[in-house]
Amino acid sequence: MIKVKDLVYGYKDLSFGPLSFEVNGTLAITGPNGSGKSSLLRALMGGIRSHGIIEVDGKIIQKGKKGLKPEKRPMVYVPQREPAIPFLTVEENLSLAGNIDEDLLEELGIKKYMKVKVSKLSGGLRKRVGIAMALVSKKKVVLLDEPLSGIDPESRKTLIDIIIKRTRGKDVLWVTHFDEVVRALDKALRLQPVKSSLS
Amino acid sequence: MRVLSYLVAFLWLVALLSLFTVVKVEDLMRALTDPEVLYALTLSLVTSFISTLLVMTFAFPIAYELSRGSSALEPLLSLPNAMPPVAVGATLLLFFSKTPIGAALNSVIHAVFSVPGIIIAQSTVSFPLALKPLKSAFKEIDEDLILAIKSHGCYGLCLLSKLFKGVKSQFKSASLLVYSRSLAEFGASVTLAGAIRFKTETLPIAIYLNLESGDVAKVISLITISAVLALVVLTLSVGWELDKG
Repeated sequence: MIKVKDLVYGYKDLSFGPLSFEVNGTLAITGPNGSGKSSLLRALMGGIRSHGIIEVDGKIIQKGKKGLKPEKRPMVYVPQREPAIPFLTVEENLSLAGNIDEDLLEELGIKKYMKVKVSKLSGGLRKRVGIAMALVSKKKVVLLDEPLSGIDPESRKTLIDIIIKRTRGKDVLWVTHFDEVVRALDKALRLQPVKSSLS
Repeated sequence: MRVLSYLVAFLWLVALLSLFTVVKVEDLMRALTDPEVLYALTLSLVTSFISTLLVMTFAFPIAYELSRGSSALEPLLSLPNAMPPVAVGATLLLFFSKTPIGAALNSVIHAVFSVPGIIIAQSTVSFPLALKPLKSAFKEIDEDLILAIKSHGCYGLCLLSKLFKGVKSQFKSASLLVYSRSLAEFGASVTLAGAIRFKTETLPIAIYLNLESGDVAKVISLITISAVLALVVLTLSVGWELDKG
């Protein structure tokens, strides 16, 4: 379970929040461009300046401005632009994340690309590699930033099912613009450019 | 523009080739196999190689740190490249010979008037040359990607090893730049390590010593070797750049 209290985050000239919410399961994060969705994931990871309280399963990982370093947080992160390391092969990427799960690779349709460098793959396949990395990780919290953008509509439903099935028992924060994702997840948090509200 | 580049290249080629008009071919050939010339060549190749290894080992993680925003130290780190090499050498010489910490270090590594001094001088002067291209290469790597790699518990050496493939071509170019600068290093080396025949005699120092003693054939053979070595290194560097492009 994740508890976020009074989290203000952002950059030198742009800040978001304060934001408070709890996640016990899956949460869709939605909102217009510039509402701080991707920045929220970065802040939870400790990648940008923020202050507030972040708690995971009763353990405080950030209080005020001080928090655990990104590598020590119990969270795995799939960014929007580069979901996997482009200059490594699919296999090298997955080895970094955890044990290679052949069934999962089959389900995601990336098994035949194991020896291929990620930069040679299409945008959609890169997303699948990023998703696979998050799903084989042992971390308790999964942060996904638009993992289905660039994926064809027919495959989207399958991938939503795979992600939900494979993250059971974990907490998932999923930035998305797709209504089908919002409907499939437990709760939704809609962010606004200035203030935010929990639905 | 093209005419201008051909003109400058032609002028420099004329200057180089004109050297062969002031020496007999047999004298030049004899000088090329002279033990002193071969010693200078070997010492230059070996010390430059060690310096390049040292520089790249330290420059790689430091450039990564600088690329992530902590650039306050950058002017200090780049200083040896902006200072006159002789001033860098004099600073090192005074440090190793006149200060308690430097003297203690010198008793272990023998920097003053010996071969390790050449490596220290070459490394100090060429270090900043590796920083800039590596820093630029690291800057091109998406900040979110680095955060994602860290989220898999990969940081420090693990992170750098993963990023290496992403900056490999710039790493190779920077290594060649450092190697060629080390081969050419004179001012700092001669001040710290001295100009001692068959001891601290690198190619540039050998040119200096033989120019002083008036052995023109040897000087021209040393210049020829230096020019060929530099051309090989620069051609490799251009080739890698083209591959990258």
